[in-house]
Amino acid sequence: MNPANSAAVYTKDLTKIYKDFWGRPKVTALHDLNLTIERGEVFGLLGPNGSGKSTTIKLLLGLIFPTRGVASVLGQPAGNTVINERIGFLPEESYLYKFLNGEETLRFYGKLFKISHRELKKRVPLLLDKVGLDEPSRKRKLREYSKGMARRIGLAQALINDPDLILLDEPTTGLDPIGTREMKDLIVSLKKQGKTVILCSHLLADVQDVCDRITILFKGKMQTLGDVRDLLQVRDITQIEAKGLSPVQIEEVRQFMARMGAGNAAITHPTTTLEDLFIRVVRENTPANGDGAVAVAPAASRS
Amino acid sequence: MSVIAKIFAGSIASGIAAQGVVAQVTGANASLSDRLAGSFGYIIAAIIILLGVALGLADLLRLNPKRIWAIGSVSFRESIRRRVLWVTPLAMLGIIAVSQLSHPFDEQDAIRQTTKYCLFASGVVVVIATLILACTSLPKEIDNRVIYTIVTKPATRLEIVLGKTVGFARTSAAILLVMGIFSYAYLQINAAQLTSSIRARLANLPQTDQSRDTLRHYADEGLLQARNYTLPAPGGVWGVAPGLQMYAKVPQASDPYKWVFGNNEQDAIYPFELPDDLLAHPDTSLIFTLNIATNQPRPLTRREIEAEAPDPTATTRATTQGVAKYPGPPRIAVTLLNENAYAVVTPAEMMDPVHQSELKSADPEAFKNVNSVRLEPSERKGVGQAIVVVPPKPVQEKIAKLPPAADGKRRIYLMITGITLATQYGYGANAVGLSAQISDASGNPMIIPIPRTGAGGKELPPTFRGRLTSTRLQQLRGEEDRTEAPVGVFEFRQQGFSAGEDEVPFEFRTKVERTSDAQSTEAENMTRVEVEIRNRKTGYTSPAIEMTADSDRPTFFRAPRAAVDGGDFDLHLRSRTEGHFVGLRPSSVAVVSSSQSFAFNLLKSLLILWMLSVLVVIISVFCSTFVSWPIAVVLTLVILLGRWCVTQLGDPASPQQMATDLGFVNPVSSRVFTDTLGALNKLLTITAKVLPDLDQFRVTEDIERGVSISTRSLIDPLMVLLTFGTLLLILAYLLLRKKEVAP
Ligand SMILES: Nc1ncnc2c1ncn2[C@@H]1O[C@H](COP(=O)(O)OP(=O)(O)OP(=O)(O)O)[C@@H](O)[C@H]1O
Ligand SMILES: [Mg+2]
Repeated sequence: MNPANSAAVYTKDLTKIYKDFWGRPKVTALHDLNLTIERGEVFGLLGPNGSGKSTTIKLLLGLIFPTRGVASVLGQPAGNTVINERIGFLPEESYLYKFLNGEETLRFYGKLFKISHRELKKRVPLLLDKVGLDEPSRKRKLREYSKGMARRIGLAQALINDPDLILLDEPTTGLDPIGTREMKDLIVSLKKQGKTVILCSHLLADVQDVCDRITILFKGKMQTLGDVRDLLQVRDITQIEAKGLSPVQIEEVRQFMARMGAGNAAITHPTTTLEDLFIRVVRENTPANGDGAVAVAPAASRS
Repeated sequence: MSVIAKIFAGSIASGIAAQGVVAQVTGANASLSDRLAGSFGYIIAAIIILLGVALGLADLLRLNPKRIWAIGSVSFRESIRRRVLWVTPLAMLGIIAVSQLSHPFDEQDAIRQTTKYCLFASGVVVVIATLILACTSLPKEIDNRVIYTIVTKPATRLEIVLGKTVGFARTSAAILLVMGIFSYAYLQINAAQLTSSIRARLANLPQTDQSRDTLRHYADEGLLQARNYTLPAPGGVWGVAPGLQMYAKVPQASDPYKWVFGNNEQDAIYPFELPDDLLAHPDTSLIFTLNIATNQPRPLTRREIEAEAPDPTATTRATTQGVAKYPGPPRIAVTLLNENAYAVVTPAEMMDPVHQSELKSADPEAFKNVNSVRLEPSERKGVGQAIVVVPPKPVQEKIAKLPPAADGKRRIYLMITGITLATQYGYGANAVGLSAQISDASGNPMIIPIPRTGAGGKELPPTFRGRLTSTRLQQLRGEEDRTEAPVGVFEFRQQGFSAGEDEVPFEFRTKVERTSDAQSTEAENMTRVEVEIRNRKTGYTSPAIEMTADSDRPTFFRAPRAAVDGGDFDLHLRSRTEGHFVGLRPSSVAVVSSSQSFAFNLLKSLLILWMLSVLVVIISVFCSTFVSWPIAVVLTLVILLGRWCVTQLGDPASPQQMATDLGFVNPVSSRVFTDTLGALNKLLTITAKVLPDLDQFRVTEDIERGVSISTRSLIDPLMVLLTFGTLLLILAYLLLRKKEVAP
């Protein structure tokens, strides 16, 4: 079967060259990208700043047009408004109408999907709960929102149509660690529902936990593509973790390893990531009420 | 701003001037390029529509009103939340300030001016607000990337363009609603005050005062009116009574002649229909035979002797009062006009064969022209004869090239002007005859008579017309002596018209011009006008109704029912103030047949303003799809005002004339100059034709005069909006489709 029809996203020699006013080439933002993202996959688009991640997403959404090559999304040429019915998009910053409040924003986007008034009445509060915006902030104008709150409402508008394909451009920027964790949980739950998620980030830590496959872009060119575990596994280093060893026992292990031929074996106490630590600290200081993380989320985002 | 002033002024003069330009452009030379220029607009429209349908059919089919409304609502809400409505109190303050500071001459003028200020301010506010809102909207959303979240939803770019238009149309409706409510309330308050001051004035006025009727009309009906009219027969249409005729005296059934004044004061105009095959002959010449009665009842007055260059053949006779000077033999000038009453063949191009021998010229080509043709005595006493020949050259070069009328016929109008002082010219049934002379196969001249009949063999009626002013009003000279005063006859031919009450209200409008010595005396500034109505069916003639008239404001008078019942009546109007010239057109006198509510009329005016603002929105949205907002503002103004500017440039002076004026002596450079100018001229005219015609948005023209706004005045701007708006929306959509919406 033709991958252009079956895959969630398919690109062939996709190239974007930004031109200046006179039509002279200025920047090659994307160079011959060949990519196939299967349905139901969580795909990470990685790379340092200015490597062409956002450009790729804009091309897939038809916000800009390719200089060369083809892109198809959910079996249709990119930019076709018909497939937008099944797409959710969170741009790199929350580009929303600042003079509307949270609820109005969601209702407006819902109307663009021809969602009925009654259905919106149900769906909007649910979504606002899901992204962790509390009652008072729903009624406030977006211009008064903090960065993280704007991010959350941006996520909510991306999910208003219960999309099959979700493109998230740096979803965790501006979010507190709890928000970041919730975002990851959300992505995992979306995957469980069989949705395709394209995640765009330069924070490896975000990506490694949730993505099935990633690609790394650098200067508009694709550098690697593959399964996350495969890519992150460093094959000739073994880490041994144990609990409650005495210095004597540690010395014994070291000697054992020297005997096994592993010269300069480093035996250290393993560290947790900063993020893990932060969450544990917040959890420990919150009175246990079942799902403490969700309860503190709005408070944390406002601080 | 001045265009808005223009819309509000609604001057008829420039409309006619513009018509003249068009007539010149289309009439002069119907070459291929001109014909192309004529249909240029249609060609462009067809291309745009085809492109739009070809490229946008899918989006057209997906069009969803709910989405358009949603996008529109956001734009509307944005304007409201940005406090755009706060401009309205400013406009209101402006209206109050200006109307308090203005100096009206009377109550009616005060209310007229206030109405005008209200609508002017509403128009200015709504146009500027929508212009800026609509021009900045799309560029701003692209710049702050809100458009990302819209375009990635199922909203097509067509829906975005339409949504923006709907949104700002709602904004302008909101502004106009606020302004309308204010205007209505403010005008009502003003009118109440002014009406009570009219009542007070009326109470102190002597019973015989001539302005009583007008004041009573306002006291009874209030100052805020919306009148409907029954007008005289529509004028100027081929073969139809002209509605207004000017005579030296009212024609009598017993008198075979209709009399007009000489001294270039009044003309007789005879229409002719020319067969095409006749014009196809290269040697056709036209021969007019004229039989005109003349009457010279009095000697020249002192003023006439002083003011006019005396005719060298004038005779001096001894009378009892001493020596009186009498006018010389009657003379006429003859011109050929086209359908729009512009000269086609001038007197200098036509020949007076009777007096050819008087010409002393060595040039064998020279002929005696018809600038001043002496009428020769005929066998009938008091009737003078003349022959006027249009030589083959002007027939071929001017008449044959006239654009045919709408029904495909070629028509010319023979205008005869009596030029002798203190002379009346009488036109009887067979005053003018026309025949054509061509050569037959063997080269002998052949005379073919051309009947003076139109379709159905009906004789075409002549028109008797007064001298035209620059705004094309016919001038009626004022004269103290009633028997000497020229008369304007308004011909009402309204079948089935029935007067409701015992007295029928009439309205009279004019523009008075005064000679300089008449102006000097303050007391003479009132223009006395006298009206008499003759019912043609019953023969009843009303007593003379006297009133005072002035420029630019209506005078009201009442006529007895018996005079107008049946709708077939003539209204005779004379100006009775020496040195005052009353300007008339067929619609100058009208029966006030009914009155509408002023609120409804105001609503109609606001509706026209709203259509104007929607047009502004569409042009703005269109411009903002391809340029940054400051340029879009300027470009929108250019598109809006372009056509008006070109018509203001007006009658393009002939390039040759300009070349000589500018002193080009070298024939090559002069040629280059004239060609460039000509091409530029043509380009401008063509461009102007595809731009919207703001003259169709007549916002204040009717309402400020207290006249009910006709459906026509609503349909005209609607047509501009629909045609021009649709095309621009398609273009805006096509442009936005091709646009990368990332900044
Ligand atoms: N409108 C534009 N005109 C010209 N160059 C542009 C434009 N937009 C992006 N670029 C360039 O294209 C390249 C890729 O940009 P892109 O936004 O895709 O990077 P990114 O991978 O998303 O970076 P980041 O991690 O900072 O978001 C950059 O060099 C950028 O300067
Ligand atoms: Mg980016």
